[in-house]
Amino acid sequence: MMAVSLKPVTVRLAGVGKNFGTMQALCDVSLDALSKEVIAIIGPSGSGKSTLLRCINLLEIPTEGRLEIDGEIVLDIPQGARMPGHRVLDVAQEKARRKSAMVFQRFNLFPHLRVRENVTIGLEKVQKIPRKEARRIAEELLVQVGLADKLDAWPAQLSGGQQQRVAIARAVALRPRILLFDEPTSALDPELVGEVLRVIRALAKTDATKIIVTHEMAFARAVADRIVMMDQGRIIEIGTPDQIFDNPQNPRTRLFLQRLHEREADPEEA
Amino acid sequence: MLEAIQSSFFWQMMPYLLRGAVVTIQISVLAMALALVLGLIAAIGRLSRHWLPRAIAGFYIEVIRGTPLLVQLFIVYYGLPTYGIRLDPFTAGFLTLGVHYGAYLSEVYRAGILSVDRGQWEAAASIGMKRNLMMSQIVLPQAIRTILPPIGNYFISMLKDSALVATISVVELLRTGQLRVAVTFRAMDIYLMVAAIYLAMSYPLSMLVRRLEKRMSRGVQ
Repeated sequence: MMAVSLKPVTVRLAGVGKNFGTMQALCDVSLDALSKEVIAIIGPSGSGKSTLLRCINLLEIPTEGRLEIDGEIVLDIPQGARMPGHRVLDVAQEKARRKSAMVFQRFNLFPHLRVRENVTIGLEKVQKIPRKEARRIAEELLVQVGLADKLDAWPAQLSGGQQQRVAIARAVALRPRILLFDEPTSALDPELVGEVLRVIRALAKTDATKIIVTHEMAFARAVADRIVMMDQGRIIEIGTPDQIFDNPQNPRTRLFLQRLHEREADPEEA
Repeated sequence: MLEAIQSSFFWQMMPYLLRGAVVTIQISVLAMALALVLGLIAAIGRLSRHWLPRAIAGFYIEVIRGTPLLVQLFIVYYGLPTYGIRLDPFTAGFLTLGVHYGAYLSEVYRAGILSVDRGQWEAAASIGMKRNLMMSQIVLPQAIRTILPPIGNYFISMLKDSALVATISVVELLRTGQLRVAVTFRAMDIYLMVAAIYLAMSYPLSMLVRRLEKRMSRGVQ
C-alpha cells in the first residue's frame, strides 16, 4: 500500500500505539510522509486522527512505537516498555518541535499579544532571529494570508477565519519541515471555512510536508497527494484521492464516505 | 467621632498616628514585595515535574498556612536569637509577614497559572518553547488577569494583619496608638482614630480591587 518513491521520508511512524488508560486511541500505526508531500487524514470522530497528528510533535507521547524525522530517530519506545523519563522526552520533544509547527482546531492564538507579535514570538524567542528580521518575516506572511490591515489588532478583535489565518502564518513563519493541521476549519462558521482552506491550499507550494486532519472531503481531494483513512485507532486504508474516493477497498471506508454523502444530501437526517 | 474631630485632642494625636501609619505602609509594601517573589517561586515549585521542588514548596505552604501568624512572628523575633540570629523588630516583622503571605499568594499564582487554557500551553509548546519561556512569555502574562484582584485583596488583608507586629514593638500605627493611650488614657478616642486610619487606607484599595476585577473580567484587552 505504501507509495514507492525516491523522495526522502520526512516523517516516519512505525508501530505507534497510544493508550489513554484502558482506552486504545492508536494501535500499530505506521506511516511514511514524504518530503513536500500533502497527506490528509480522514475518518470518523474518535478514530484517532488528532492523536496521530499530536504524536508527531509529541504533544502526545506514544505508548509504544518509533518516530523518525528526516531519518533521525526522535523517540523509540519498544513494545511493553515504560514511558521514558523527562530528560529523554525533553530531548525528543525539542527535536520534534524544532522541525514541526501546528495549526490547531481552536486557533490558540496568544490573546495577550497583537497579531504581529503572535507570529514573531516564536521567531524571536525560540529561533533567536533578530527582532527586525522577525517582523519583516511576520509582516510578509500576514500580507500573504490577507491580513495586511490587522498587524496591530488583538486576536479577540478578529473573526475565527482571520484568527486561523494568523495561526497559519505563525506556524509557517518558523519554516518547519512538517506542518501539522488539526481540523483547521472545524471550529469555524461555515462561511469562513473557504478563506482558511484557500490559504492552506496556497501553502501547498511551500516546502514543508503537510499532514492535515480534516472533515472537508472536497478539500482533501483537491489538495492531498495521499489520503489516510483511519478507524478505531488504526489506519485502514491509504491511497491517492482518486483511489480512496472513487474506489475505496475497505468496506468501512466505503461506509464512512457513503454516510458523509448522505449527510451532505440531506443535512436534516444526520 | 465628630466631636473628636473638632477637638484639639484629635489634632494633637493625628501627627503621631500618621507617622505610625507611614511605618505600617512601609512594612506592608516591603512584605508584599517579598510575598510576591516567594509566592511565585513556591507556585512554580509546586507545579514542577520534579518531586524535590514540589515537596519543598508543599512543606512551606502547609506549615505556614497551618500555623498562626502571631506564633510565626514570635518564633522569628523571640526564638531565632537563641541561634544567634537577632533581627530588629521592623526586619523581623516584614520578613515574617512576607513569608506568611507568600504561602497564600503561591496558591493564588497556582490557580492563575492553571486557569490558563491548555491550548495556550500546547500552542507555545508546538512552536518550540521550553517550560521557562512558556511560563514567562505565554502563561504568566495571561494569568495576571486572574491573579491581580486576589493579590490586591491579600494586600489589604496584610495591611490590617501588619498590626500584629505591634506585639514585637515595631512602632507602626497600632503601637503608636498604644503608646499614646499610655500617656493620655483616652483608649476609646485613640483606638477609634487608629481604626479610622486603617479604614482610610484599606477602603480606597478595596475600591481599586473592585475596579480591577471588573476590568479583568472583560474579554478584550
